[in-house]
Amino acid sequence: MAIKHILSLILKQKSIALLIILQIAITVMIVSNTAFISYATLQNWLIPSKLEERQILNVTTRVFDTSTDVPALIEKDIQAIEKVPGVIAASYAGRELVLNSLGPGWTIFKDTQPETDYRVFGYFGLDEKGADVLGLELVEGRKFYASEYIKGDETTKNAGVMMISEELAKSLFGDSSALGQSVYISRQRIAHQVIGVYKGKMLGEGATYSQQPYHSGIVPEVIWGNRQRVNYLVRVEAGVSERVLEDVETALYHTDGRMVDRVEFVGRAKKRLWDGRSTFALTMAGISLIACVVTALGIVALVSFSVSLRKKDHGILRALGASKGQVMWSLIKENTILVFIGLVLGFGLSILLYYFLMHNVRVQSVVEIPLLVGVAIFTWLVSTLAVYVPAKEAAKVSPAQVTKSS
Amino acid sequence: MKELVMLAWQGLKQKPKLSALMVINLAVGITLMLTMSAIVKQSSSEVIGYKGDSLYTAGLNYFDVDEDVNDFRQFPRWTYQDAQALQQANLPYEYVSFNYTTEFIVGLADNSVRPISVEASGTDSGMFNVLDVPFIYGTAWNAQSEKSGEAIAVISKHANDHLFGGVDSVGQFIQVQGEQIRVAGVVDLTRYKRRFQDLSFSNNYNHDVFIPLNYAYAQNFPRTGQVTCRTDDLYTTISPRSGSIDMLKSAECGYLTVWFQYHNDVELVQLAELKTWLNNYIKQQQALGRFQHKNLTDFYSMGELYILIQRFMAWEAIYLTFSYLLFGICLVNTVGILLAKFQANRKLISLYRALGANQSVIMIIHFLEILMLTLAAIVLGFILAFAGLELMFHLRMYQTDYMAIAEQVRQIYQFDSELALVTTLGIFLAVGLSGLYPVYRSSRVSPASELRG
Amino acid sequence: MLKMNEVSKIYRTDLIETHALSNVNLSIDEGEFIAVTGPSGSGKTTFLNIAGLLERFERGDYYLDGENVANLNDKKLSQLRNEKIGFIFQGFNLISDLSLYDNVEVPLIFRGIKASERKKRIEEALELVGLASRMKHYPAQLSGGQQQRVAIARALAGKPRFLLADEPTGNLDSLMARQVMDLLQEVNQAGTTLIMVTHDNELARRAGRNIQILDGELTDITKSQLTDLAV
Repeated sequence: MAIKHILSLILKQKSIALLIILQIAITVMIVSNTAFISYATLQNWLIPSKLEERQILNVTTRVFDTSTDVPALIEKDIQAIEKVPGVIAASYAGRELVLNSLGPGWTIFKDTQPETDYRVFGYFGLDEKGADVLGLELVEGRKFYASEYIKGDETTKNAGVMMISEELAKSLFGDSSALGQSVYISRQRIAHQVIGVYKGKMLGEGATYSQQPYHSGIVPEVIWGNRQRVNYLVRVEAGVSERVLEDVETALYHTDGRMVDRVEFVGRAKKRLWDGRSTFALTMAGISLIACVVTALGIVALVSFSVSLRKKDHGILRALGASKGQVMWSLIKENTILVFIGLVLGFGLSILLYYFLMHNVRVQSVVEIPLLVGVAIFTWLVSTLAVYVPAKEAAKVSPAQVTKSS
Repeated sequence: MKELVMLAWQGLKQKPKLSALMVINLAVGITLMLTMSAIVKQSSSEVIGYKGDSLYTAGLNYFDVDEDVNDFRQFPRWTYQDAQALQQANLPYEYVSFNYTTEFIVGLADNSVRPISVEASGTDSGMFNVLDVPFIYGTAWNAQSEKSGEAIAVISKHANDHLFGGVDSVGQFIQVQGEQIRVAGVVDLTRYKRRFQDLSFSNNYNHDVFIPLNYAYAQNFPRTGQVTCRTDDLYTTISPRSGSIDMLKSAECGYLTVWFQYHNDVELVQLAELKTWLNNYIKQQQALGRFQHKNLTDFYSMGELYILIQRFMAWEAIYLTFSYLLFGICLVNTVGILLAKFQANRKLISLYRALGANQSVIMIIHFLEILMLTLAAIVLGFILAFAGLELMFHLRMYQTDYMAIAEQVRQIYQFDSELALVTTLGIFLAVGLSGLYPVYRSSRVSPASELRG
Repeated sequence: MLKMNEVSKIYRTDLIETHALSNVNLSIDEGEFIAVTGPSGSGKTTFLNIAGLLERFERGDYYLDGENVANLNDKKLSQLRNEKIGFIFQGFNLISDLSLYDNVEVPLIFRGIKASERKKRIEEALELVGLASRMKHYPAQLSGGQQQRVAIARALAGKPRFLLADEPTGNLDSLMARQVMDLLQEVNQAGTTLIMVTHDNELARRAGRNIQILDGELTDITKSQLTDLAV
């Protein structure tokens, strides 16, 4: 059957055609927005962390006994952690942990002008082993001298020197070298001199949220006292089992006046970054799946009905020399025309829903043409699969039924 | 009637594939709708609904004119000074209660259990009346303890289970920052779907320890809830979260949430008195240069707050909208399936008609058939919705990275009988309505018209 | 051009076997006009279905244009139906949702004929049956006789080897019936083989050769043998 014949058949069964078009449109609306949201979420997921996600641990503990000798505890803890099988090295982490900021996001400026824009960055205060625990690779300048490390409680002054990531350096200073430059941290604009530049990794939680995952810097500071926190970053051997988490916790918890909050692979902290959005995307994916099932069932039902009404016509077609395949194919073509109209309508609705979601819900979503093409092909496949069932039934009509007197 | 049921059963068996299609189609729609409406209903249902009209919170905005302050989420909390003035005004109410959120680590003096980190409320004994808390053991502290700032606490069932293995711990001591605090009572708040006392409306967990404000001040437990100062510089100077309590008390930094429990039937009168007093207080303070903003006060009953927070449940609202939309599509499908089914039954129908069945008998038979199929779909839908809720619950736990109290979160992922009843009736009605046209169409098959050939 | 050797068609249920056609032997030459008569239930329709490749048969051989169709698959059978046979049914069997033009076009599309050639053929065929002016109309707008002429046009447009007519005038009044029969005879005289199944002896007398089916068996008869057996 030619397209024009199919079109005139569709026009004769307007209500069925309309229902199918409507279903396709609504399904497309849901599925394409799910695709947009999932894609945006996936884009976040797929930002390479450049981290050894199962080789670095975040360890958070709280010292609630105010009489505790914190520096002695830190020394003892690091020894205890490093004795755990599988652990390579442990470093005290005074400010942020990897992808776990424990406080407000940190900002960095390139000068002290009030109008200057800031960059959000991951701000790490680590001891001598810190750079190795994070696996940092120097591209320019030097590491900290032993003399540059400072230790003390909250009243301790800043070290004044820092290493920053290549990406942050580029963002602050463009093509000119960051070495020897001064940078200013937080609204108080505390001055630091850049002495080294390393290859960026996804380290700071706030920075990653601000879409600048590789912006970070470390200072040679072991400063304790911030809300009782005594935290560590630990490097473990590749392929080490989950048991290491428990072992580290056990190594730490036999200290009175202190509790171990959490020991986790940084991979877990990374997962947490996108939990809300990925849950939304996941739920939307579930709803999309259901929408596809419902629409497929609907097409099966409506095409079954339409086929049952046209049983005689299909018999005639068969008698006139249409093979079973040709009868099926004409139904699939018919459906494809409806899918096409539904897609056009559905894409319109999708864009409306996209704007609604962007304006009313905290959703990340991107309209991408390849996604729309994918959704179109997917919808066509699902609907064709659905048509196949009643179409096969239709093709079974015996051509001999035409000789039955009517 | 029995015969008609039998005939309907025959019709149902006539096209088993289409019957199955109808049941599956409806069940899918019902599952999604039930799951999402249960979640939305539970999420938006009030914790102590009977106080919807008598429990009020109020905001007093000391921010500078250029701050954007519209709804309660942007209003600052109460400063110590304003709260003191309010308390001394001796306004009419059943209870007034202030609280701030803090956190600390709780253990036992003998270190026999692992200490836990808890979120806690620094508050007054009025809070227990405001929350109408179910005490498992003991009672709230008395006015004497409150005033003196005694080291006394009411703890949650969760904390009691962890620290004392669930036994009656009244009179025992917990240890916080090296201090011994006597347990006055144990409460179970897990059945409260949301923690509303700090206006967080969080569903993840409730506070584990309640201590008198004066004791919290004495120990300078940090302010970890919402804390704001009039200016950023003030914030930097005062450091209101963990800085000196005396400086905080005198600064224009808010951290206290207030609740008024009014007497039933006179709540509006009593609220009016509060408003009058506040207006006078504002005028008097304006003379000192405070309160220049255009939005100075804000009042919400619990009921109003719950209506308000529904606006912020946008994700759930989208799920629910889609689930209704999809159920609508399922109904459309049902029409299609029934049309196809009855079309296939035309021979049988025309035979019945030829044998003397009138149109209404045909209609009854078909409606019975629809009823049976719908019943099957509802049963299947409910079973699947239980699975759906379980799935959504686990997804939610995943979302909170398993840091929520499962028992409390689960409160949201449950049916209630009212919802079940209403939805069931609604579904029968909706399916019945969508059956009208197909049934009408097939009842008009003329006797014996389909019997030739 | 059409030859059946010992063709049998058996309908089976669990309990009984019915021989709808038994051991039919038949040979039809190019250009013949054959009328097949017989009472209801004698096997006329079965014969028609088998001759028209609408139904399969159990035993025997059936050569159409020299090709044995006994074991062909559905696709091949459909193609043969499409190319070699023109059908004219009692109930016309037009597709009511398509215009006359489109109705005639459908089988030509299945054959894969080019659009320009299709147009020419459709116009010729509708011209022949005198309905060229109404090609945009729908079947429901025509009288029964006109509808049947459209069906004939549809059959002829494919230039079939033979026409298979099943009670072509059964649903028509006598005037229209005569017109349709005249048309069919005209077509036959122009060279197309015509096989007509009918229970109407008067129509049957117009044929060049008469065949009678009784209880599934075929016999050639003379015109004088056309009795009123078929009621």
